[in-house]
Amino acid sequence: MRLPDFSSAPRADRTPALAVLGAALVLGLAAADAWLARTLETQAEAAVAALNADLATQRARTDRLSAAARRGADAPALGALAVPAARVLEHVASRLPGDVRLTDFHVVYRDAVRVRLTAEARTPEAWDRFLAALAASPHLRELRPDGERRDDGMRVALNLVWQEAER
Amino acid sequence: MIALRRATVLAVDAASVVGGRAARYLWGGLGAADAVHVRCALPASSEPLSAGDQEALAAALREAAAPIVRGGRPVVLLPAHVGASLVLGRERGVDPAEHARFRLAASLDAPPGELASRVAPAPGGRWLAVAMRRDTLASYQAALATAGLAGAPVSFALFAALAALPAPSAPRCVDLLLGDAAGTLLGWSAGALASVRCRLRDGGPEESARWHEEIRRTATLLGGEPGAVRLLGPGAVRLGAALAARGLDLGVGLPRLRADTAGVAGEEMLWPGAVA
Repeated sequence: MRLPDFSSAPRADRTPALAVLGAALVLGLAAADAWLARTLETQAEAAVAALNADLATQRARTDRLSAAARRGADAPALGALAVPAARVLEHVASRLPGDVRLTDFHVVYRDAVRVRLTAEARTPEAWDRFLAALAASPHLRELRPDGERRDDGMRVALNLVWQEAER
Repeated sequence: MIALRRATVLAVDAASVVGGRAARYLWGGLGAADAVHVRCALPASSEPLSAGDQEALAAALREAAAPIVRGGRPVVLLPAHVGASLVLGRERGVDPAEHARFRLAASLDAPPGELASRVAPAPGGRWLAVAMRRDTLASYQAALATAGLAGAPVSFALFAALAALPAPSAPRCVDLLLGDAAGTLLGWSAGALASVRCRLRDGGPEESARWHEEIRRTATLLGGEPGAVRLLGPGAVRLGAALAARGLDLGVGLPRLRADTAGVAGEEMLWPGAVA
């Protein structure tokens, strides 16, 4: 064991050490502040760039919609097309005979409210009754069968157009 | 005898300065030779030495060093009453020297920043810490400089004694390290250094009774009767005989010391451990 030596005991004056520590702390804080400012600036630049890109996208979309609006000036107003799909389905379903069932049903809102459906009928006579019921409806027109398959029963696709005003 | 290490030692105390050569031998044990005893009266205090005391100490140091110091710097040992001591456990993240200054500031009547402290590892995973006032240290160093010993290593006789004493085998043991003006009691429990207490000496017919009480008190703090008592330092032979008459088991496990010091018993010397 080396004998402890008091002759080299340093003075417990920590002022220089504290000053160096304080200066290092200030420098560290300044560096951290600068780094934070640079980070915020980068984030702000990125946000502005994203905003500009979004603005350009929205402007292009506005241009496209304006052009479409100009092209569709002669088309029916959207209000005339705004019939709920549920109402169309309900109307068609109310005309289904007992031995015909719907297997597919689409409502497409374009220049008119167009309906495409697929149905299965147990017999050709049942399908004829369903077509007669649809043809008698005051809201449905332009009935066009689109593909018909007969095996045990009948599977038929049908296109038609909804018409809000009664004929 | 082949010596692993040799050192020249100047042990300062309240009534004397003792110079000598110490050796640690290859096959174990310590050696002490060429002891020079110079009388010098200094205050038994932890206060700084006055200018007159510094002059007196410088003169005694010159006289003690003259026959033994041949170049190089001797190790200067200070007595226990100049500082204050403490046993500390080893704790992670705690600087024991700083901890000692904090704990011993009240004992030395000075703020921790005005204390110098040193620690030495002690058996049982402990630290033996000694602190002293910086102005007191400066006054002793001024005396050393006056004696032509500027820059000499300064330590405490307590550290030298700890280095010389093997850890005791008894479950409870008390060491009494005697100086001219004070005695230090080391308490050992299960081979680990457990406590250190310093008491001023009061020479007289009742001294052995007082030390007997202090030894019993130290052992009580360890949890029972002292299994063994070891005495070292000036007056240890005479005091040991008186304590043995009181029924204490003395001298078990003292350091192996080969003394060639004109009839002075090895037990009377604390300083040979400075070579460790």
